[in-house]
Amino acid sequence: MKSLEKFLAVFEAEMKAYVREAGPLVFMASFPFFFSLLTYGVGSVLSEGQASPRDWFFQLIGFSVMTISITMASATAWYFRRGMITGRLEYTMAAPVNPIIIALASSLAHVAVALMSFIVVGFVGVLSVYGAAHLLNLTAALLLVFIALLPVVGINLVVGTLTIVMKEPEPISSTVSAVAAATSGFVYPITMLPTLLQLVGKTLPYFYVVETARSLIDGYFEATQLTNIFLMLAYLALGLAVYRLGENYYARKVGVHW
Amino acid sequence: MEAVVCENLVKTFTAREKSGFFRGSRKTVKAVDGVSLKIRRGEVFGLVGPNGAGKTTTIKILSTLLIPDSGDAWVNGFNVLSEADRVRESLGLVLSPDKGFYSRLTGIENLAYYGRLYGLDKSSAVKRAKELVELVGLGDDGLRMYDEYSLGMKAKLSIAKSLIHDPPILFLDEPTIGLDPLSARKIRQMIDNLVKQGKTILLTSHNMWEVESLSAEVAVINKGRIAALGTPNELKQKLGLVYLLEVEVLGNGEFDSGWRVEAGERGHPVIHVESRRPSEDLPEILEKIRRQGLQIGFVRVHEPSMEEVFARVVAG
Ligand SMILES: Nc1ncnc2c1ncn2[C@@H]1O[C@H](COP(=O)(O)OP(=O)(O)OP(=O)(O)O)[C@@H](O)[C@H]1O
Ligand SMILES: [Mg+2]
Repeated sequence: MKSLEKFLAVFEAEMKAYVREAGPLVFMASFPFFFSLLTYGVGSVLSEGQASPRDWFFQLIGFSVMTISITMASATAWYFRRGMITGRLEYTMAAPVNPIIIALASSLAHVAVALMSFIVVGFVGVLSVYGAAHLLNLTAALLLVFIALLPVVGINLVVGTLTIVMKEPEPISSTVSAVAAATSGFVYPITMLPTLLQLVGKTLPYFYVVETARSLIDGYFEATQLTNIFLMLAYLALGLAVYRLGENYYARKVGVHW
Repeated sequence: MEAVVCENLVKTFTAREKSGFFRGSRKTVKAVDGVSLKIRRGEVFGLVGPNGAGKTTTIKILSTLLIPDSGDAWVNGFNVLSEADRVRESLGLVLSPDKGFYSRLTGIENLAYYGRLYGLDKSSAVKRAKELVELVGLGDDGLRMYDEYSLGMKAKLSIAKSLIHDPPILFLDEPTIGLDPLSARKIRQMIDNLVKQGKTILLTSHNMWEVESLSAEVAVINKGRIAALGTPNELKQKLGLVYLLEVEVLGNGEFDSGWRVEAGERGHPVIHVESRRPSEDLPEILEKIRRQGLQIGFVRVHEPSMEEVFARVVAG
């Protein structure tokens, strides 16, 4: 019970601090519209008017997951970097709390904010392309997108641990975001990518987030996709393990602030 | 049982030196080099020493934030390595008075955050946060965002944070650094009250007067080693520091003193005596003057300060 209380303490504090900083929410909710309209517009011109609203919707979801991925990676990196700079991380490490709780709670706060933006984007997209009847699909999609984002949390915890070691958040999180953006089929269907990029894309969890969202809303979701999502959860285990080791064998050896 | 015990703590860091853009080398810095201490319950223990002497590093080892290379330590009877969570529950920590909080949360929200990390449920944490905000004198400022706080307000919030789970032991690393005289005095009064309530406090400060007036025992640490240890008076005696006594004698009649006499600011002769035992020497001097039928103007006793202790120990 106490662990839950501690979890909620971090979750709520991080959530409040994050939401009061309106920037990320505005970015995640607006960027997908502008860029999907851009690619849709270009696509319409190139295909001489063949692009359908459904194509736009696929782009919209793609850009939404892309912005979510970018923001989550940078949020986790900054959580640790800011924690170091402000001395908050030390005080948190000096409290009787399992580091896994801290890592999970702060990351899940970022997932929650990401899902809020996804709701806004998804709602507008579904209503304008599929109609109100598909809103039920959106609800199902939200649930699975949440699970599909957990492996992303795992990768971000590795990013966070590296941030503590390298003492700089942006280069690491941006590199990960760039790789994810290029390989995950956010904009073009993943089958159109060069083989190497496809391979990278299918090894990373981001592709499965977009695919889950698109297929659940559109209605072509298949059970095999579930298997992939659950396989990807290995990233979460990996991330938690790396963070735990980093905390024990790096942070408490070298110090996280002086 | 002592509140804090540490034996032979050693901690080295790798320092990175750079020359040119990328070229650089590494060397090891021994931040703490065999520190052993015992802190009795219910007392303030002052840890002083020059910048970089290893005070903060020692505190971080004792609060489980840093793992020592060797040596061992117990806080409240718990081992810092094998019973880290017990140690963490036993102590309240101020690492620097102007840091450690979410800038986008209010003072009370920040305190409640830490309260819950220490195992309070939400409503008790908020209740305790509100009490502490009053106790440290933040009042309505508890509802303001932390990023609007002045240094003094931040310092008060830090003390409140260290008390959130009502721990028996407090580690306060330079809690009055950068504060105005009145704010610093308030913090000292708080420390005084906490000791009266039975708390044990490990205090560091560069204000020697502050350390002397608050601490039952003081350790001077230099280059990672304890260079002197004892009550302030013991330290002064050990180092052979002397009191300076000044007695002004009224009237300009001749008198036989055998002491060094100089003209004072009011024109009367003033006797200057260096003494190791002022409580014995001073009555003797006064008696001798009175026996000669002379009157006494003023008496001044200059105590040797902790600053002199510090200077002697550190500069040799
Ligand atoms: N994380 C770290 N990495 C490398 N060196 C460190 C680290 N922390 C402390 N040091 C070094 O250890 C030594 C002791 O530092 P410490 O902060 O303990 O001193 P201090 O007595 O608290 O000094 P001050 O009075 O300035 O606060 C210094 O040489 C410092 O540079
Ligand atoms: Mg220090």
